[in-house]
Amino acid sequence: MNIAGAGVVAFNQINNAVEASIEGDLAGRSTVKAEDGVTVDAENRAHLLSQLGAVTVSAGGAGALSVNVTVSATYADNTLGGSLLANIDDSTVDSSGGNVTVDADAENTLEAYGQSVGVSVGGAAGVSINLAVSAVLAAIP
Amino acid sequence: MGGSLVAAIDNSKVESTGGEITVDAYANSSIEANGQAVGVTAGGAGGVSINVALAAVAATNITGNTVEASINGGSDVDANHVTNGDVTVSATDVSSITATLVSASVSAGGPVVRRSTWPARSSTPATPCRRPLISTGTATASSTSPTSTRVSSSSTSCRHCRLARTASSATCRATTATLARPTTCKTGDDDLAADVAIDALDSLDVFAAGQPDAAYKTALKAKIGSTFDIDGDGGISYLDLLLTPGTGDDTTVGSTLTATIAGSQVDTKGKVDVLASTYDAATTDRMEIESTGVAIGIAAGGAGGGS
Repeated sequence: MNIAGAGVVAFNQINNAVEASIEGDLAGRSTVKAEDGVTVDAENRAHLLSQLGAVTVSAGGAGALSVNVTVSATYADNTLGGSLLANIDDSTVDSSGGNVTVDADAENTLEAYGQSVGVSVGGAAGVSINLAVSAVLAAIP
Repeated sequence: MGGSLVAAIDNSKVESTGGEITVDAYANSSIEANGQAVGVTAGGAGGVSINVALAAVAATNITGNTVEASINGGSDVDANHVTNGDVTVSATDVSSITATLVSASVSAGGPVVRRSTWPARSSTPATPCRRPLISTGTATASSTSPTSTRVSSSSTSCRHCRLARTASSATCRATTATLARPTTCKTGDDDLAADVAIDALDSLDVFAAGQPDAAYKTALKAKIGSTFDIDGDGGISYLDLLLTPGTGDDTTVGSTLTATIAGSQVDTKGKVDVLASTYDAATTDRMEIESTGVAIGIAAGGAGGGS
């Protein structure tokens, strides 16, 4: 009896809280004066690359009974999340010579690759049982 | 990996007449994790060959930064230069994780004999066998018993010793009179115990000195036990490959980036930028995870009664 198992499990998460703000606090309101514009920019460009591979080989020779089993699996659970905030709150902003820009930009990318191969070979025998199970699972919540 | 990075003007007065004012918090931490695990088991001759190879890859990589750039607490900031009077508050985190894990497991059994007729006992003095010993009924084997002996009346009947003997080594005989003639020549010699294999891991060249350490091996033994249903859920699935229950073997990036002007006054002849980002346009670096895992399992058995 020959049993070969190979597996790769990956849980990848990127969860960021990104905030750009002009706001008030316990000290009072904010006051911003600019002659060439005001920019409040929150940007998230996270990148997630997941590459998983599993290979199994099970081989049996000659005999009265040959049982060969392979189980090959990859599982990837990838999450890109988080919060992104750009704001002006409880404040005074005065731009005399340019634009006032408040921008929140998310350009996250996720690449997930999974390969799973199982090979089961039995030789000459009275009984030969060969089982190859291969699975690739990917979840992007 | 985690930390806190703060750049702040807090409850202060700042005045620049000759240049810009920049409050910048920049994180570029990185994890590069490379792991290799190799398991090798090999069995000798016997009536039954059972070979199991299990390869698994899991990793724990965590980076969580707190990156903050701020003008706060009632600060008063003035940049009065006519052409270079910008005020910038910037928080950037381009931390990265690169994890490359490889796990390979090979299990191989040698040629095995089928049912055989047990030979007549002989009074010829014994010669130590270098291969499995035989007890009553079915044979048992131990690769760590090089001096064990067994019964034989001819060179062709000492089948378990055949591989270890030379042509001139003559017969291989037992010194014990308790051996009985088995009807089935069966051995478990190919079944190298998981514990033995784990203990032998540090003899492989692929590991650094002292690795894997005793704690790891003890934990691995405890996880494997006598079944591949490691998590005890009644089935064998990918979940059995996790070293810890749930999602403990995670690759995680979780950061907090904050760029703020809070409760403060900012007065400038130029522009005001409040920026929080996971991307650096100047270097094109960005926050990222690159996770690569490869697992290989090979099990092979030889010829015999059962393989």
